[in-house]
Amino acid sequence: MNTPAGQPPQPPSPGGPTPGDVTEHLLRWSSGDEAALQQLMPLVYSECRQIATRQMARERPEHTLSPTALVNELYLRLVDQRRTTWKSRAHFFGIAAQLMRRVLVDHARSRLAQKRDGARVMVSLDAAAHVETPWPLADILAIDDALTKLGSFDPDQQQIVELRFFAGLTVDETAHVVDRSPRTVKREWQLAKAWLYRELSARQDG
Amino acid sequence: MPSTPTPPRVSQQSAERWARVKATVIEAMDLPERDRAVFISRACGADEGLQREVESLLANARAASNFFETPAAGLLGAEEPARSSGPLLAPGTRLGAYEITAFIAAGGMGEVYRARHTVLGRPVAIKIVATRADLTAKRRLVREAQHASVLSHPNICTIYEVGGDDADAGPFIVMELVEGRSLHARLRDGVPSLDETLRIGIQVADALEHAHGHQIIHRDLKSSNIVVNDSGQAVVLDFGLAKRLDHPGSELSRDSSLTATGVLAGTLSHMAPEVLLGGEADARSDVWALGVLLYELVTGELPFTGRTPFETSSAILGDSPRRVGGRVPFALRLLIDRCLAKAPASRYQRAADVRDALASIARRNSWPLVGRLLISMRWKRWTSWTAVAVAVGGVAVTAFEFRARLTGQPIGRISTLAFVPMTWTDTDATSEYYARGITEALIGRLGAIADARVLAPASAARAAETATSRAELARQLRADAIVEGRVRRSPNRIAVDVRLIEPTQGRVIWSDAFERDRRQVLALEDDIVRALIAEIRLSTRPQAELAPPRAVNPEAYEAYLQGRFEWNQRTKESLTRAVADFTRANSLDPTYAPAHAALADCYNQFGTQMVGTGSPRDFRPRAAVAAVQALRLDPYSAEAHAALGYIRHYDWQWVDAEREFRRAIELNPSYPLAHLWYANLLMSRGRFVEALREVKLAQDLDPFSLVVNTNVAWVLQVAGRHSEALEQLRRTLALDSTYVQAHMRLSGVLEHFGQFDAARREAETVVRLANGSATALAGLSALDAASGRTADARRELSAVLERARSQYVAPGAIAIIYAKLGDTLNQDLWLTRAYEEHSNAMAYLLVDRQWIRDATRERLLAAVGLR
Repeated sequence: MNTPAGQPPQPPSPGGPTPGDVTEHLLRWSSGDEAALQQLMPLVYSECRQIATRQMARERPEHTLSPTALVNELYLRLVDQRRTTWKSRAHFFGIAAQLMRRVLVDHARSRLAQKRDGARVMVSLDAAAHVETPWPLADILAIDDALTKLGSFDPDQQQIVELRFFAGLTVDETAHVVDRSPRTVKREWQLAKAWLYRELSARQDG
Repeated sequence: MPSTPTPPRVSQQSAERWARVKATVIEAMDLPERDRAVFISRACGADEGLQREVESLLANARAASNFFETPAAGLLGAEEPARSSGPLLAPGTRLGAYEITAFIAAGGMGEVYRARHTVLGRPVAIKIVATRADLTAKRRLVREAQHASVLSHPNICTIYEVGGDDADAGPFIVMELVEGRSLHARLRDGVPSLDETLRIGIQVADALEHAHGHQIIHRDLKSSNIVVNDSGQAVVLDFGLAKRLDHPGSELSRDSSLTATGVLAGTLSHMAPEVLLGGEADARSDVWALGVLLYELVTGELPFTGRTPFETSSAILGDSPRRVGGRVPFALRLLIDRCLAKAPASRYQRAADVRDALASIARRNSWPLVGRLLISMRWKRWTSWTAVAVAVGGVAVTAFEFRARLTGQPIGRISTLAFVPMTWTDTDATSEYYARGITEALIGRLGAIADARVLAPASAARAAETATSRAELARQLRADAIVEGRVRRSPNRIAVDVRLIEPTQGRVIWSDAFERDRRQVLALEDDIVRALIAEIRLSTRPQAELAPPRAVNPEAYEAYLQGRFEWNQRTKESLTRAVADFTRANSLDPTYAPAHAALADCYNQFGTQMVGTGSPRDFRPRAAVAAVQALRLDPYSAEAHAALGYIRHYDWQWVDAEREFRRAIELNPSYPLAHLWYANLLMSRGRFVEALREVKLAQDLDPFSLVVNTNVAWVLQVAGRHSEALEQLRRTLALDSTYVQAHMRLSGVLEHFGQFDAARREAETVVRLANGSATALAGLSALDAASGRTADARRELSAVLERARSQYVAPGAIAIIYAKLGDTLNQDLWLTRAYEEHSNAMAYLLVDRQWIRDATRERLLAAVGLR
């Protein structure tokens, strides 16, 4: 996992979900309670947006963001790590990844609509040290498009990409979430990356 | 709560296809490297599209990950021969009629040995496959031989024969022994000279052209595949990955163990983007590789590199190649850029085109006269598309080809191009000079870069007066195409739309829009110029050296353009306003060199007799400060060098002055004032032939300029060709009968012929036109003195002297009167004053016959270094 060692969870923003809430839902969901997911999502989503906005507001050249860092922060804020196992963490990150993706895309779209100079939101894809990432920076909207396109004929791969790219899960963790063997996940991941890389490269040309 | 967008419906067929692709790729990934190609071809069978897709994804996967442990040098798929104990064949081994004499190298998929024919004794090179059991590699080898044997060309390694399926070593190729080092090895010692680079490039391009002509593309062209032999010939080796483009039904293409695209087998660093993306390789991907090669030869480095194969392929697909340094001729830089265009359609389409382009760069070494480039600019009216043409003189008219971007068909050869002045879209009063200024700047920049001569805008104005339509203008100027433009300004942006039009039918051939932040207006101008050069394949000057465009404060730029507008009118009052404008520009943006240079020009003019704002003693130092500052900011400014040359000339720094003028001309041969002022320098040294040549060049560039035309007459006059001078002055006055300076000169010429009445009429005209200025009056006085009307002369002289007490009168003008009166004492007095203030007239002491020859003159001549 990428959570920085030894850091205590951040206190939640006033009025937002407490770690207790989220952890509770998360644990229940991990043990099979699908309804818990429905309750989890809105809690996480609003937090997600706040974190993302805060990070983007900071002065950075080209507004680079690391989705994993965002998701990690999200996790630290919302989940009581003492009570969760890595399996439930994996689950959390699974949805967090999806949400983060949406948040970033929405943000990028709204900035584009404002036509600000440098409106493209660039995402840093240095998700995790042990995962080789294709590009240092990429346009989030392009990634989103490409990923959606990939998802249209291979939804599994789209999910794997989300989990690996956006949430930074390891191969094993990803395998757990999607319920397939790590070996398969690895291959799927490589192929998905190849396809995405090619797709994004072609878009850059066009 | 946002929802994930529903993915588009996917047809069953493509999902199935994807599944198949996926299965194949994943299975291939699980295989060891050397088995992959075979597996793929088996799995895909005849389905070339499937095979291409699989290979492309594998290549991209490789680029996208570090799974395969490829060395950082980025070889993609190079098969390292599994060698456990050195080269396979020992010296003495017999292969057919040949005997191995030594091991040369291992490379690609095989090993290369030196050998000799046992009977003939001929030394050859023999290539075998390294791994005995590797069927794929063996087939490749045979294929290589089959390809290359078709080709017979001095720059392609000749294949003599293919031998021995019987030998243990398997098939082997016997080929020409090329003694020498590969370019790759040679580059380790440093880059070759420009001449050698061009020569090698031409030879390699020629070799490629030959191969392409036989439907064979190389696909693996690189510096390690090219050897320069001891006669200096470049020889291309290793057509091992080459592919035949035709013969779809032949045995060659049926055997698909050679990859369809060569993606797995090519060298990443030289791979063209379209091939990397899974497309077909063709002649243009070889052109790309040629571009990479040229880049290497010129810089010693690869244009696209990365620490991992990934970064390299990213660079290939998305980055521009690292900038090539300034020592490389501009034309060569453009050529390389074009070879390395990401889109194949934007490259040279044939190796022969690259060869020809290289050859033309090699040929050029002196004054480049390529085409007639007409640049038009509107001068007075601002509401219609009146085109003002600036003709470019060219001695040798070399046509350049033009391709219609929209239709994709060649239009035919163009030898003249007319620029219609830019219009503007807003009602801001300043927009006229802004648009005009941009047009002028484009002309100037094109003149500095392009291999053509460019005429000054003022002359264009005259021609445009009578043109009523584009077609008519084009006809008058003998132009084949017209460039039009429109400038749009907004608070933060500046945008220019440019169109290229074929005039007879008014058809738009090419158009593009350029837009940048207001601060980047100079870079925008550069964009336009480069686009034009590339689009119409205009040749560029090898000597073009330019500072890269930088940002300029927009208000400063506007002030500068206003100043230019004033400067162009050349009256005392307008020059004063120009100084104010340029000074304002400099205070707003002290780093904008042209404003400093322009300021220097103004101060220089102030100190002349004609403008007579004041003494050179007051203005020339200011001019010098401005000119030096301009050069400090931009050493490549032709205008600044010319201004400095002017200053040096009239400070009698003869050698420095000449050097400055020559440098100005070298930087921009289309800058008329550089030629004009250089002509004056030459004339003052008595070098009349050269002076006339230079002043004619100025005239060629600015045929309707009053200043230039009058100057031509002056040079003719001083050179003793008075009749021609007379004729020239009449022509000048036909352009504008109110031009004071021309009347002044005419008066002098008529005086020479003894036609004193006519001369006097001219002198009186001068006085009238100049509103009775002291200088004009002095001229009349001198004439009267010369024609014997002494009383009139003295009366006028007194009036002049009276004026001199309260305003500046050039001492030289007064000295002349005394000279004509025969008063050497007073001549000396005023001449000495002229000398002390470094009056312009002093520079012409040697050649100006008006002065009385005496001891003072001799002394002064020595003092200024003319003796």
